[in-house]
Amino acid sequence: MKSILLQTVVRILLPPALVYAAYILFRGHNLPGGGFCAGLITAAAIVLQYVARERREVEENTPFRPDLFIPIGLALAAATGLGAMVLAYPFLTSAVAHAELPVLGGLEWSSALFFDLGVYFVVTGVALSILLAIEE
Amino acid sequence: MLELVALPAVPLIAAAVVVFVPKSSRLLLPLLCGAATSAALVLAIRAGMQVVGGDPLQLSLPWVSQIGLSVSLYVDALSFLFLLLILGIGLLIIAYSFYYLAAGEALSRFYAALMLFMASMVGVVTSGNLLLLVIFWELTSVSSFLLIGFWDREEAARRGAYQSLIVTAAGGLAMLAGIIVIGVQAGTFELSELLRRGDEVRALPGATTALGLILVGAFTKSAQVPFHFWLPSAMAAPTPVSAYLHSATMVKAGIFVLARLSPIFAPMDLWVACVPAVGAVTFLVGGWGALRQTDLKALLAYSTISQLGMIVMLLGFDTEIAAIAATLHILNHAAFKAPLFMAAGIIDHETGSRDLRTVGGLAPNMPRTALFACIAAASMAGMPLFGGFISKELFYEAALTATESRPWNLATPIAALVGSSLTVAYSLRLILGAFFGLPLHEDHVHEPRAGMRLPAEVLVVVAIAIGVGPQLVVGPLVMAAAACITGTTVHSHLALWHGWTPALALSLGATGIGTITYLARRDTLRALLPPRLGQTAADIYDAAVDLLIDGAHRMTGVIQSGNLHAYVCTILSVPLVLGLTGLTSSTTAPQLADVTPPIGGALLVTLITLTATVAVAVLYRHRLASVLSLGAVGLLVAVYFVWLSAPDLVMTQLLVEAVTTILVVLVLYFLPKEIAAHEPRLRLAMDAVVATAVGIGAASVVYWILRRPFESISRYHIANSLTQAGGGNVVNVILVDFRGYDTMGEITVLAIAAIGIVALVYAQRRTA
Repeated sequence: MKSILLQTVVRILLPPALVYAAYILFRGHNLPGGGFCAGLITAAAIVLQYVARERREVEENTPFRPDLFIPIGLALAAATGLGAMVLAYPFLTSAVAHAELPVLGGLEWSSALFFDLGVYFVVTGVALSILLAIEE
Repeated sequence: MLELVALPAVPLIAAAVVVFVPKSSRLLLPLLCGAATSAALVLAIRAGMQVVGGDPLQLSLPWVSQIGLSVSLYVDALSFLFLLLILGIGLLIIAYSFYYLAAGEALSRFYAALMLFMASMVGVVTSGNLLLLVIFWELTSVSSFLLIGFWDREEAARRGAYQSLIVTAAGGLAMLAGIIVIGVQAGTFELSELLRRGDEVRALPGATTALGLILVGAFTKSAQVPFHFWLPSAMAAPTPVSAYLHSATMVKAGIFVLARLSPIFAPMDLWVACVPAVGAVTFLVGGWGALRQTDLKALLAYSTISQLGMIVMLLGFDTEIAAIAATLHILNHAAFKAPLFMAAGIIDHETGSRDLRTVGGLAPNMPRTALFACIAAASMAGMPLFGGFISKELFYEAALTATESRPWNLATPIAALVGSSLTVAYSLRLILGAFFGLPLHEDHVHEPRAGMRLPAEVLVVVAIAIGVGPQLVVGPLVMAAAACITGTTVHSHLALWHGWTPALALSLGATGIGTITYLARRDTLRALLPPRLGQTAADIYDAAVDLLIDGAHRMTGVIQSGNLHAYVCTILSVPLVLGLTGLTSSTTAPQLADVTPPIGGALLVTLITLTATVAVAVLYRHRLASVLSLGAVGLLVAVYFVWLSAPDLVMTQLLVEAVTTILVVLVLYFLPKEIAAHEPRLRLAMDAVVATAVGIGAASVVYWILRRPFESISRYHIANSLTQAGGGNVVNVILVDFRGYDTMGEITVLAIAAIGIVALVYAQRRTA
């Protein structure tokens, strides 16, 4: 029998945890954070659902398969690198753009963000796959 | 000229498209493949019109110029001859497959592999760059692996597929080595260039080694003794595959390479000594093997080995007449062997068996199949009015001529006579055994559907056409292709009747001896020759594979003992030993920088707490408490990172610690709560020693390394992070940009590790 307190807490915690992971991911280029940390946060938040709640219930409410994150992430990271090659730059050369946005102010955009997004997906997928395989 | 690229490209694109066509569209698949093959065939014929009696067509596009690899295509009459075989017979095979394969089989995979094979085979015969040729060559091995193993639920199919892949791919590697030796010394891999500079190539210091390696490649592919054993094993393939790959095309790739390189290498001693001899032995071993088989396809496989041996023998003679005979026989062999395979497939399809002990007397039930099989077998046996007769006559002539130039070589015509007699004998055995005599099959057996016969009948008509009007039908093509083999111009005339020549006498003799051999088979012959002639190589292969697998098992048993304690000790000790060796082995005493002790009072407190927590983790007997205090160790390390102003490290450390703790708690579920009370004193003591040594060792390695003066790269990173990568967080910029390649590798490793762990967990669960 799983604890009702824990169930309620992890359920409430999930959305803020995912938003926080996104925040950590996007600020990574300029402040501490990045794809690796964000991936671990996401994985921990989701695994807690499995630990605290009934597996069947979580799976019914999860619209994706965690192991698919791994190939998606690898493909994204590789595509970022290959994108540079298409434009005749060496593999993984990143492009930088600067934008002035009305509310947010100055914003540096780097194509490395997509690479970091790939890292994020791989880390999430790897951590989730391993943890869920053992948890099952 | 650019249309030459379309020759291999069209089947290749078809293969890529066909993979995605659902296997239920049974008609669409062969139609697509057939359309692509026809298109390539039309292109090939257009190119062929220009090269027969003209200069070769050439095209060169740069690819990897650093290693001399270019997309060079070189189409001459020899290529054209092979293109006709590959694409023409390919078209017939696609039609035959439609009737042969049942609905519900993995048809998309089959046709895709077939088209991939066709494309790579076209690539082999049109390559103008030897490295490119090797690439296509290995692709034929891979696609042949897929086709032989098509019925992957059958043990024999998997075994045959592995065997052919290992043998032919190993041969391909040998050939690659030989080609590299030649190419590096000659400074080019371009075929046209090497053909032009033949004398120079032969004089290179590594020429003999290179030729030996190339010969190994050609012999493995063309199933020459001692590498012939993979071909009978490959008969586990579906019959269309056997008819296509193992009679008409792939096994002729080795022959093609011999023919292609003949102008360069044929005058060398190794060629003169080795090629005719290997060919002759294969001719005899294959013929004897065919006589002993009861499985129709195995019989045909050995017969193919034998016929390939004959062609190799001819190429070894390096005379004009031999080149003509070889070229013509390549055509003839395809025209009679493919129908015979198709007949074997029809018999299998209609009766459910292809063993001569259980089928027989089928002629009344399937007269048309019997008719075309008889014609094909007659051509194989070298009967007049069929294509095989002409090339057999030329073969005898070539064998006799070869003896004239080298008087010691009387073995050649004798081998020719004996081998041809065996051919006659097994042809008789095949036809009489399967179609005549008492009907062995009781079920009602009938002719197959017309579409299944038609491809074979087309080829048989070709065999008759070549036999009746050789000069008219194939004369110019054969002469032009033979000229590519000899490297000179060839003017000769193919004729049905050569007059009363010694060759004709040999031909009559072979027919007579062959018939007697067939009648006298069994007891007499078995007493004469060792029963397992030609099996030794297969035995050696099996023994080698067994030895390898056995060795791997033993090694795994030693390395992967399954003892976690031993694993941890090994993992800890190896880096310690390596690190200490690195430190102590540097001969010059390095200049060491002064230490600026960063340890302040607050840090010292952290250190003491850390030590205490470790002690709790080690000494506490309750697992959960141990795990939690290990987590606390991680948190305290994070505090250290705070002191060192490394916020990224702190964040990562905390998160890793959290996730690891979740993981360990999950694992704990499977373990007893208490740590076993009675551990042997000795082992505990040893663990303490190892742990202390590793701890001190790691600390001292770090200490020494940090004191070495070096130019730090961090200044560069800090200076360029914002300007070049647009990121203010240097740590992250290093991860995703400066050292992005590393990260790419790391996440790949992570992914592989995850797959391994998940597979292990589920495998464990299934056995439990």
